[in-house]
Amino acid sequence: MRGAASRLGPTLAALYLVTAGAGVVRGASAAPRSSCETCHAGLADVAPELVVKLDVWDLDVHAAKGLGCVGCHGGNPDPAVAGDAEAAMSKAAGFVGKPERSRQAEWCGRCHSDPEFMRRFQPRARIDQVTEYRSSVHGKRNQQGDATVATCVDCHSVHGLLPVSNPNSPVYALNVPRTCARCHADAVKMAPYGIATDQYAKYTASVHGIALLKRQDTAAPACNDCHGNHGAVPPGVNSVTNVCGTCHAREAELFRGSKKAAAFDQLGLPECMSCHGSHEVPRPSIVMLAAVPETPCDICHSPGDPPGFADERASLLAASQAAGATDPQARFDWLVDRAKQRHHSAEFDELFLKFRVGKIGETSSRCADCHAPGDAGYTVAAGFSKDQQELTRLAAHARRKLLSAERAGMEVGEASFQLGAVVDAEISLEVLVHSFDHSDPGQFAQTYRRGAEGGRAVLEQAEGALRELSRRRAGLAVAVALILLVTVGLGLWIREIERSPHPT
Amino acid sequence: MSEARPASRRTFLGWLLGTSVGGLLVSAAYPVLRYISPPRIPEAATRQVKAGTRDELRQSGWKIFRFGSDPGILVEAAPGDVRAFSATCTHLSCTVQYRPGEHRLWCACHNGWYDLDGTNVAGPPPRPLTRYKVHVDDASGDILVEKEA
Amino acid sequence: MGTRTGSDGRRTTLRGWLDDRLGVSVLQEAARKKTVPIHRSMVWYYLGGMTLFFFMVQVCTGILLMLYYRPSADEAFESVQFLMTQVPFGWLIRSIHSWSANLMIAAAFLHLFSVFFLRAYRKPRELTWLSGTLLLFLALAFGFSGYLLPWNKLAYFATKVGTDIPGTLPFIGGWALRFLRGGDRVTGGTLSRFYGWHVAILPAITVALLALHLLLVQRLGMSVPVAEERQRRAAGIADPSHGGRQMRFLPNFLLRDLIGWALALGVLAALAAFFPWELGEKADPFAPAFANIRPEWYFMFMFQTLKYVPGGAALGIEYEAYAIMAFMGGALLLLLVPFLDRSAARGGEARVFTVVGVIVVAYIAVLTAIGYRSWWPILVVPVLVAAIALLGVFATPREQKGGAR
Repeated sequence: MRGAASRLGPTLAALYLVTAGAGVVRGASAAPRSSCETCHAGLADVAPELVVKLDVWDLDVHAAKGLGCVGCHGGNPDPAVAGDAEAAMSKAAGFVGKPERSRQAEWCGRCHSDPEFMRRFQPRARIDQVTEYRSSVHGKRNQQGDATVATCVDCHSVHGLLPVSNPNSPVYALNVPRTCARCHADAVKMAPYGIATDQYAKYTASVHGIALLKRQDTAAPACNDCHGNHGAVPPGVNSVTNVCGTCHAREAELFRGSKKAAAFDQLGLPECMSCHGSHEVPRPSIVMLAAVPETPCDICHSPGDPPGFADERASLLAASQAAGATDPQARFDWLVDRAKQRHHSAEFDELFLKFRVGKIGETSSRCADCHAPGDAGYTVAAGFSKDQQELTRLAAHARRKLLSAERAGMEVGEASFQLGAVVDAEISLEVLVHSFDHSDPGQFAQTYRRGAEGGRAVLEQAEGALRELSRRRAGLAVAVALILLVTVGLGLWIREIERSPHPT
Repeated sequence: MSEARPASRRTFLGWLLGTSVGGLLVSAAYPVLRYISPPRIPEAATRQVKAGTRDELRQSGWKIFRFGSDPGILVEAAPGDVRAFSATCTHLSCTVQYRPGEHRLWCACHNGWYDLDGTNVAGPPPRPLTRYKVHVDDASGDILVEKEA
Repeated sequence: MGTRTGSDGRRTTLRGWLDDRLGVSVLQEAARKKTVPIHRSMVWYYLGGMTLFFFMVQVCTGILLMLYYRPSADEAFESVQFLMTQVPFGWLIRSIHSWSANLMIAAAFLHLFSVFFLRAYRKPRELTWLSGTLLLFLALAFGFSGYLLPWNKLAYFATKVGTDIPGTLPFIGGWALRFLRGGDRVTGGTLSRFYGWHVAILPAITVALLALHLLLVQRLGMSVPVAEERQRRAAGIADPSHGGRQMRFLPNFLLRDLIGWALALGVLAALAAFFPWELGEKADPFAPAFANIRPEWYFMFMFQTLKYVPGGAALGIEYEAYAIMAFMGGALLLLLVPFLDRSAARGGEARVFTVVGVIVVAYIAVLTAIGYRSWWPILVVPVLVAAIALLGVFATPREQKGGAR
């Protein structure tokens, strides 16, 4: 080290002159660059690994708070010693250089674990990151001397470290999955640990990944929201409900209160994940439940609704046969695609989401995977499925009627508002499924009944509006008939008076 | 040709014309008369709506009401302190409800919480709920809710 | 009705009583004497009455709409929504008002072009033409101001674009824009202003001009086409408008008018019931302008023309302003047609006016068609002309039949 420094000495002195002249030193009004900055900015040809790019460094949160290079590395920042490596990096001036990877957490912790120090800058900041990190898989392996596992700078970057709230920070909510994936999606890096590398791919296709990455909803969970920020470990089997329950509180509450909770624990099943999967969490659909209808059409349509539906359904079934989708599951999924083509609009996309129309092939697992027809669990699931479809058909039917009334110029605002409550009841049923209780009067049964009553009331209003519409048209027909009669009468009258002029 | 035939034809035509013109006038006057008679609701709920009555609130402490085509929520934060907010959660548009135990507004869909100022205090909601002005008519107990301009 | 006379020499019947005070019988006599010349092109002379009918419908329904409409940015949209949904038959009144407005302008255009091609503007009817053309411009102003009143998105942006256009004019542009909008932007203030124009200022001017127009029609009688006039003159008839084949206005002509009006009423009712006028979404001044901003159909040809004008300026005036001034010049020429067409006054038919007229109609039809990316505006012109001509075959009494004197 010493030898190298003395060898570099004359070069650095020359460099200092060059870089200072080239304007690396900030404008005359600003304070001059520290000795560290002046030299390390110009090391590209001599020691590329020691280069600090000043434009990046200037954005660093530590630089912004005035902590400077010496805040972490020590040494003498006096611009006057810029050409003199010995003086600038003298141990006497507190120069500590760069930490070993295995001690990096503690290196950062010198400040970040010090409540009094941190309070000066961020009174609300946590100071337990190092403790958490050391409890994580990363932290433990790092301590054992594994030089490849992630430590602070691998996620937060260095010499250009941005606050978490900055959208360019690698640990900003939207960037976290990409940052973790840098290692965890890399088969070469993961090979020594024998863990999967498909989490990122699965996550991006999951309901959470879509919400976070496509819709930019920063409230949606990224990796750290389930695995912890610094204490990253896979959640234990029994804590899954607590993890998911952070956001899905009602589902978690219902599940914990159900008979399933104890049974799952006994069987060692990972609670929520047993049915919903983990990284891949797909959007749940009604087909997860037992007793799937023959076609997805039946989720929203009943035989005569709308007229001509039965024929179209039959011809689609024949077409699925022709397309080679013969087994029930393939046929169902083939028809889901057809349904999405047939009803292609933003409005229907939203309806399909709300009514939980989905493919069997895209569910993580289904009740029928474990339960056989006839057993108690299957019966409950079939009961849920039947009621949910019933309510969906009712809501869809009412909505169709409302739309046709609306398009014909009828006001159905009140009924549309009430339909909102029916759809809310439907969404509630999806939540109440997690009680695994279909008994009457259980919560599910009560909600179903409330929804169905509301749905029928809306349907009645919609039909009333359509009746009113046909009354209007009947009224119009009368008026038009009268008008025609007047026209004919006038025509005849003209002929009459012009045939034999009447003395006036 | 007899003289009577054209005369009776003319009478018939006159009758036909008179009746049909009369019918037409009636069918034109009817909608107009219905139109000018006062409608069931005197005016459109644009910025103000009757959200409920004090008696309704006394029972459960809160109520969902319709404001245009959107739901609103009425909460009695303390006796005599009635507040109104938009009931549409700012996260994914579910309808929020009041949880008396926590003394807060709660969205069941993703466990979002708002305090009784409408501020989002926990869970995923990104923004506070819109707050409305409340007028309580002491005589009738009617609660009127008004959007800020 | 017989006339009974009381002891004091005054008549005792109601009609007589009124006549003593109002002099109704003078009018009655004049009406009975009024005649309309019969000729092959007679059917075109019903279009003025048709326009008048639609105008009366507009007045009646417009007054009814004022019972519920509120002219402010906060309430306009909601009040129209309320009117259409909560008020019994509100949907009908509003739909009829909207449809009748469009049909009135269509009828006025047809009326104008038929008068133009039949050269009915020639001496001594120059003022009739002048007042009629001004009435058409007023109708367009009615349409433009009324379009904004429901305060929906489409109308808001159409108004914004429409008021931008005079803003490009040199010298007066800035003032014209502020005058139209009542400020720099389209706001609730613009709405109140348009409302004032729509329900008070424009109707007042229209009624005055309409009175003049009708008075002139009464005074001068109906014109006859140039060729017909020549024939009648050749047959020794000094006043072709009152001599030769004539039809009595009361009741023969009026009854035919009534048939047309009844049919128009039927069409209005059917349109209102089967194609109710949509309300759309409430205007949001801060929303970004959306694609497909469209004016009302009768402004489409001008709107489309301006789209083809390249950007840039000459003599410090934008090209667009030249196009607008060209349209204003066109409007002025239209007003001055009777004074420009010297040959018509002498009983000639200058071919050039017919050619220019056809070119103008074709230009309007083609540009409108391009604006809507549809063929029907081109089709509708010959179809309408054919339909009216066909009606004429039935409505015009044949030679040697009754009605002729």
